[in-house]
Amino acid sequence: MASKHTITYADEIFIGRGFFAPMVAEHGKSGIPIRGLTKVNFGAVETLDADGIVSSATGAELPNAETVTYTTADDGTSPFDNVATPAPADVVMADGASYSVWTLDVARNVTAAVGHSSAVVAMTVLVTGFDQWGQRMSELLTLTAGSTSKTAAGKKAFKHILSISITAATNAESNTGFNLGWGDVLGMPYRLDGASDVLSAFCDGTMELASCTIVAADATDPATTTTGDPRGTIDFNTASNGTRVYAAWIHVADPNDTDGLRGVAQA
Amino acid sequence: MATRRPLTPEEIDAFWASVGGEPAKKPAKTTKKSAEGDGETGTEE
Repeated sequence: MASKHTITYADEIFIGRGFFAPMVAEHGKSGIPIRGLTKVNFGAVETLDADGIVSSATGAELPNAETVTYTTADDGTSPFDNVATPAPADVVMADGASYSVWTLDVARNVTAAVGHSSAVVAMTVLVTGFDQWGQRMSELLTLTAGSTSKTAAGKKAFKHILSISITAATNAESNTGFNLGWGDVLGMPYRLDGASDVLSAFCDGTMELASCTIVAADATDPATTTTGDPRGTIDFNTASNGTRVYAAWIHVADPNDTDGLRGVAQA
Repeated sequence: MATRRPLTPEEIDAFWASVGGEPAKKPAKTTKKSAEGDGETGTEE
């Protein structure tokens, strides 16, 4: 087992004994303030899959003025018969209980899409699952009415998916090809306060920070099913393909506080 | 097996709020068409 040691619990850390009175008056310490950095290894991320969970649901598989809820009990039968769908497994979460879930390779966003021969009937999709720390979470995706296709991209990073509830206030059985899968927006493990807290972002060893889409933690408290990820996300410029390896160096502003680490509690 | 549950009135309101509002009702559309064919409307212009 790797040896471990905590360097300090101090809120502010300084290094050096250089003394210049105005600086010491400002900092209360000699030397310079330093910040804790950490490397986030996302590893080799699987290719995004728009129908990785639900594949081409249609007809009676969609709601008719009701909520239709699917769980892993439906795995293996339409519309959960995509070969790419992760095999369900029982996983013990942060609350100590075991849940049957679909587990993604990394914490990443979910996406939804639906079609119609003339005009999509509005639906909402409530995805419930757990984040990479086993915290229960939910996100509401909205597919508005109109046109022949609609899409919705989630903002929160799911590691496990527990259930999918599709709602329509009218008959949405005429919608076609409803898909739910995962995107390329990856979840940060620690609360990211801003884009300036990402020092570098690499894909296969090539720096691509300037072209990444970085979203800071959503501090809305309490979080809701429509707020952003409580720790923030990063979408690398180069698409994942199952072999490309991603990593980032980030600054965590407040490692002395639970919310500073995990962000606000998940909705 | 998927579970199915009818919506409560509160859930229906929440649904329409989240998807940008309930579509216009057909009777309202019929009334509008009728107004468009009204000769008096043209007189006012």
